[in-house]
Amino acid sequence: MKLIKILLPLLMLMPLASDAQCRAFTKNQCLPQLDGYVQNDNYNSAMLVPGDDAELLLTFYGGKEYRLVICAHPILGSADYEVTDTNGDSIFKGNSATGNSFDFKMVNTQQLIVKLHIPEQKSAVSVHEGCVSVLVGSKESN
Amino acid sequence: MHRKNAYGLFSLLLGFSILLASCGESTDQKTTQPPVQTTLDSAEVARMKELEKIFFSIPSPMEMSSLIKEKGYQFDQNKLIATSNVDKYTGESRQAIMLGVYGADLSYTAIFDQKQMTMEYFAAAQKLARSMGVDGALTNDLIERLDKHQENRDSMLHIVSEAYADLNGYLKENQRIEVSAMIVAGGWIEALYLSTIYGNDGSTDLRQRIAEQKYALNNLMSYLDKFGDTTSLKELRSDLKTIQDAYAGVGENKGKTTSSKDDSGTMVIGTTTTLSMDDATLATIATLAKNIRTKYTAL
Repeated sequence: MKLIKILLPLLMLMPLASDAQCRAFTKNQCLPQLDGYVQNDNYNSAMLVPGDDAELLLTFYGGKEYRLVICAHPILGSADYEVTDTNGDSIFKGNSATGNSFDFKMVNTQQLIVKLHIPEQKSAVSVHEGCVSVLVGSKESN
Repeated sequence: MHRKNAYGLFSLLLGFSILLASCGESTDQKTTQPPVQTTLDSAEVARMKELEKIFFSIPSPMEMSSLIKEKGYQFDQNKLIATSNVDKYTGESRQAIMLGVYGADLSYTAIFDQKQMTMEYFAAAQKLARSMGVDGALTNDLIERLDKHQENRDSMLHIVSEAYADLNGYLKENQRIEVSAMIVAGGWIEALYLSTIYGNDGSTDLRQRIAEQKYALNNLMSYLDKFGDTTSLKELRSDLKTIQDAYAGVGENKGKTTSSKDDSGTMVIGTTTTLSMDDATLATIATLAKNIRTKYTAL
């Protein structure tokens, strides 16, 4: 446990090589899941560890159809995600292992929040970090 | 000194200091070392702050151009910034904002299926990126793919979007997050400018989309605030603040979120929240968008 406390700051503050892998992971493993949708041009990928939480405030335009993809490296197990409105009311919940994309249509323009949580791995001996990507694609609503 | 090297060196030094702090247990300590837990918390806080700078998104300029085309407006090259001037933009901040502006113009040409012009704007963006030392994004293979797929509009749109997302990722990966923020801001300014030019004819949908930029701008300003009072962003933030102040005139009547499923089982999300914008507010926003755009694009 002491070793983890020593290594974790090193792990968390050494971004360089792993960030490059995250970008490659996003392009090769996650991006294909947006097939049929045009990708938003913001990059929302980072190396996370079990126990991490992250949040992303997004604006979705009325009259369009969207796909949200939550892609987590298998080393993390999975990522839990929830889509809420800005009041915190839940709209959709999912887990990247069982269903990592959420398709929806917007009637009107609205801001929604995507909340991520990386579950802790209770049986893990060491802490692994892994890439997590949030991708948004859009197309005209039929 | 590159942020990337400074950050790496800092993290290495911090890591070693933590390691040294936990090695051995001398009873005769002449200097006080911070407890490991406190250092861990500080590192965790710093890490979370860095993550907040990565997880940020506003709608891409392509979505704005998409509405302009959808409403039947015609393509007008004269509304765009000339690609021939790309070499005249100097200084990292200005170049970053212009990279966003060119990106928005590139999205506009791609949406309107202007093949040759899309290639020209992509080449201009690439030239600007190279002069900024961004070599790992907007690469030649993307230009080759654009060239190869010129006859397929959907493919062109995918490639353009992918290119700018990858540029955004490259900059974040290389600890040039402020630069990526300026590119995003530049793209937003240009997209707003284009929409106000077209929206002046009274189009309800465009007018509504302009009002909705209140959300994107508030999000963008909150994001820029995360970088503190840095010199490179100070002027940009000040300029965007003037537009944000104008958007105070866009009224929001908060309602509730609704959700249902359509016949195909796809979730349909709506809201009873409404935005209202009068002519005077629209005119002010349009003028500010034009002035700020002119300020950064003028030679």
